[in-house]
Amino acid sequence: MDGMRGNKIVKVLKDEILTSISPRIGEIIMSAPIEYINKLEEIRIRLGKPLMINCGRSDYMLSPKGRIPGSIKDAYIVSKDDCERTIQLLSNYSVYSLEEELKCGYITLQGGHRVGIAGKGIIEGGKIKALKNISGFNIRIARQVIGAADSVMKYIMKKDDIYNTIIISPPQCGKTTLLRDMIRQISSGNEKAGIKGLKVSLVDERSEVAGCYLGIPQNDVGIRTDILDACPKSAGLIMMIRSMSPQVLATDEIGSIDDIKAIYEAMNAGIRMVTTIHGDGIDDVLKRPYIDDVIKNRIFERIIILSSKHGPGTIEDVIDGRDLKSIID
Amino acid sequence: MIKLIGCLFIILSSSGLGYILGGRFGKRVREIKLLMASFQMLENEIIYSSTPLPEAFESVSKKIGYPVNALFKRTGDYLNQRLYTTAGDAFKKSLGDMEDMLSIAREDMEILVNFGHTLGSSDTKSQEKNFKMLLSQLDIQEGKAHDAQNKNEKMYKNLGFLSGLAIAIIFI
Repeated sequence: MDGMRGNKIVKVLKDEILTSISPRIGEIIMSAPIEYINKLEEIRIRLGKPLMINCGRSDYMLSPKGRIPGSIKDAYIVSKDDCERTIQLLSNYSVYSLEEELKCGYITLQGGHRVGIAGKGIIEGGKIKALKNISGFNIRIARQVIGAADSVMKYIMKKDDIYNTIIISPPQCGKTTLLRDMIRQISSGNEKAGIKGLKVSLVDERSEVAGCYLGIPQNDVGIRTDILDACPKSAGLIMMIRSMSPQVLATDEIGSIDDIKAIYEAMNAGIRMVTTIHGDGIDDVLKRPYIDDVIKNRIFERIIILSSKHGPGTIEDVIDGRDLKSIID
Repeated sequence: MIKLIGCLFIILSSSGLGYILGGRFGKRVREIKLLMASFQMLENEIIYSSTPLPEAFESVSKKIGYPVNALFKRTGDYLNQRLYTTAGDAFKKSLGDMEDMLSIAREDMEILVNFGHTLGSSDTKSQEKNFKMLLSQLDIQEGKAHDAQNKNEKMYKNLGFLSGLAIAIIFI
């Protein structure tokens, strides 16, 4: 099983990621031990610093031969040439074509992988006009887990309908992966289980859920899903409520007052919500302004708490939002 | 009889040589004109459609004539192969490959190579400025090439014919 996953991730690396970064760094990554490649989540390229990879919760430096070095002096140091080649290849030799993306600080590659970019911001009128002197890249490998939501679907489904659901999770615990699979299952339905698919509108502000590349979602988010990619949440939610007649509205990481206003508008229109928020648990979330209202007003009927106790994606609890009682088996 | 055929041959080949040498001046003018039109199209792809360079070069190559279409197609191919650090390197290599098939002068080449270095490595506004500069430089070169054509084309063609005639007469 691991061997199969290993081959898949090597193929993904080769076809979708390594073609867009400095060839020298690509060589080093491909020479790294396969146990690390299998768990690869991020590649971090920082000018003048050691090349590093993130696997699970640990990060590792790499030596020029792709080994894990004993100390920093054996690590491969990222050169200016590496950064220049990477930006040229990422942009397909056309830095001008990434102007909009650079303003947001990230680029989405084919396959849904996100490349965050660090550099010097050129500010005009208080907004970022351009990014110069690129000094670093953070490549996040997109990994869809089909079936990540299998164990929670029964808690959120009603007859031809779903409960308003919010996922509360600390960082790196798989909330986006869970959200993505929930949306997929809600949207595509399940013929065998007699679950009818619902119309879903997804506002994917950071292109993380659907991972759209040239307008095409690189992840499976369901056959009845409409996606607003790279669009600010609050405006996007309102737009979709008014134009896409969704049955379910989905977005990642709500928090601002505008996001909450949009949620209330969705409620008024009889639309169901599926969303996520950063936090360790209900108590943590209740300390935050605006969100605490949403919990107290029992807007969300299902609250899913995640942790990484048994690895990312651990379902800590499923709570009925109306009486705040746990309903997990 | 053989002498007559021999003479005809000498005159024809000498004239032919003169024609070819003289014709290059006209070819240079045409090629510069074609380059200007092609780069104008490339500019539109970049400034208005934000098309990435590999696609832009390929798309324009389909709309223009020889030999610039071959130059652009080659550049697009090199870019797609991702062998070069910058677009400028890929373009320079294509120019080098096609040197024998182009009739432009050394100084025209230099202008193109210098422009190549600015391709794709800056934002839209800067690209626009670079294109403007390129087109005005090529305009000046076209003028120079036209003058050279006026001076030399007829001269070479006549010289070819006359020297052929002279050699033929010497032989006879």
